[in-house]
Amino acid sequence: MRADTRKRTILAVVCGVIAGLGLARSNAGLVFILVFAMAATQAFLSLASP
Amino acid sequence: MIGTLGKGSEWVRICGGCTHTVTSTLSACVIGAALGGFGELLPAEVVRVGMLGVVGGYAAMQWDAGQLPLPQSGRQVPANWRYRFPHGVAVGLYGFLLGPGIGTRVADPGIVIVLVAAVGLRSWVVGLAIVGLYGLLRGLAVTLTATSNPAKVYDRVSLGFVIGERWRKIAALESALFLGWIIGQVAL
Repeated sequence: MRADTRKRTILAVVCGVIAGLGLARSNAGLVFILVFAMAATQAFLSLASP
Repeated sequence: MIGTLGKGSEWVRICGGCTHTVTSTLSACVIGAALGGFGELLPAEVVRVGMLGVVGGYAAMQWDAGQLPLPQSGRQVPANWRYRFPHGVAVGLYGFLLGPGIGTRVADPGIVIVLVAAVGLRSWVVGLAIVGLYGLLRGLAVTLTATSNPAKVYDRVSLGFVIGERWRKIAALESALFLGWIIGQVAL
């Protein structure tokens, strides 16, 4: 992985984790929306199954 | 799979696609309910810590920071089914096999996180809804791709690889969010 890509990845991960921590402190229902979104993303990604 | 679903007349493709989507959804619902039911049996604290470990590991794999074994069959769908069974039966069986997402080679480690979430949210109804939604959308996506433009077989088969990178980035970000949520559940 190139250095700038790695930097962007780390930044996105840190921001994501912090946002997730915020999610844990807010409305409990939001996590269900997140998990359904994850399931939908994986469904579309299954088209890329080798 | 897309090749099998894209065969035959328009009527055959539509009926095959519907059969594939229905069986994919059904098998995903069964597996999701089983995973959620299993989560209900486990103590909440064990589930939280276990979820933190597994989601952390597979999320790291999505960010190219490690390699873990994937729960996959290591092959594509059994090719001989399409010769052994009638078309309608074969696409139905393929749907049943592929519905929960681990009956073939896995495209992204995020599917493990989705299955772990079905266990970790500790409700068979929620598990059924999560994995069932995956099975439904997976069936619809493959059916729409297979039947979209019968003239361009190569484009349909390779579509997933073209769009895959973009979807992988979205999946990695969602995993980071979910990991943050779990850390919050364990620590706060």
